[in-house]
Amino acid sequence: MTLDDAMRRWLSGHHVFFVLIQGIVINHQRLLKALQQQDIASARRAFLRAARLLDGSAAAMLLAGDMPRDCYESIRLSMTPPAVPEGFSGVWSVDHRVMMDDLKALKSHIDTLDPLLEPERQAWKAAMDRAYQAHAHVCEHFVGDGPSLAMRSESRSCQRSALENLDAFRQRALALVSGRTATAGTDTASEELEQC
Amino acid sequence: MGQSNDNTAVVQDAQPGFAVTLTGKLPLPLPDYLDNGEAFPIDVQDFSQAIGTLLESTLAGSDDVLPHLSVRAMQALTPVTAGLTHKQRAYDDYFDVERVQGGSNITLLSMVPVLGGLATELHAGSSLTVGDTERLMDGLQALLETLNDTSSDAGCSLQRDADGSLLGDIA
Repeated sequence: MTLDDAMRRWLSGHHVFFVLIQGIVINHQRLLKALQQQDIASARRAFLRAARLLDGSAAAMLLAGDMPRDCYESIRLSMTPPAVPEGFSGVWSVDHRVMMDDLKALKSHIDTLDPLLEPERQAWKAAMDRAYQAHAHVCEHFVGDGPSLAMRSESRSCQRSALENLDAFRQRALALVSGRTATAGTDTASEELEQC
Repeated sequence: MGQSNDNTAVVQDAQPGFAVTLTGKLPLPLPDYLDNGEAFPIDVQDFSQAIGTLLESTLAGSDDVLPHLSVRAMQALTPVTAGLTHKQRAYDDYFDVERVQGGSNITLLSMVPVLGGLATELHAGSSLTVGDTERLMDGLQALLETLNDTSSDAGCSLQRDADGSLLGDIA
């Protein structure tokens, strides 16, 4: 695989990922509306579609990173200054930002979810876990326990490795979708993650 | 709001294969405007068929069957930069994404080049498992179902040209 091939795959895989994330956002917003209106059927459909989209996004990420390690090193360099601003990160994605905001808006409804929807919530949560694990898999394949892009920036205070960073995001997202069993401290975790 | 940008103008006559040419970045709507109910008169069944064909050909190990999907007569898209932070613009720039005016209709439009790029990668060969590939296609199918609901909610009617080509028109 040439570097051009690798970059094309990196971009194409992310483009698939991006449209799927937009589908997730739509379904999360529909889920919120359905839960507000106590519309069980619509909520069930939104849960399950979001789960399928999350699983699709996990596969898209695997495809994006499906290349030899030496190719990825060049791609990784393309995501560092001066090619991009310091601290370049997936957190900068406006779609990811809206997805996280929607999850926060959903949390109180998830905490008081109708038991009839519990199987769908669990399927949704499991799919979200798989999506973050796919990110971690790609990251681990190429970076191991090395630093995240943001961590490489000397102006940043974040000291997490790339994998630790991803796991922190995963924990935050899962805490938002776990219902009554979620642990406190999500807001604090969010603030810390903003630095990474 | 920006002005019309030739880089994202989409005008292409219907022809075999992925007939839409997006000469430039991938257009995407701002996520805040996704579920605004805007209609996009296009038959999602053709997209579904393309996804199914792509999955079948990939799982069969075929490299000579690309989904047939044609969309024509797209108007120029209007870039949007307002509401994006410097970091968000930098992220989009890196991944060759351009935010444009519109809602989920734009996401549907974007599926055409996205599927084209995906077909290229799958046929070039990948180490995805059969299960991964199926999940990828099922996710795209779920996206279509989601976008189809948006069109249905808006009372959208399907349009098809005399020669059977899909007719998309973004105002």
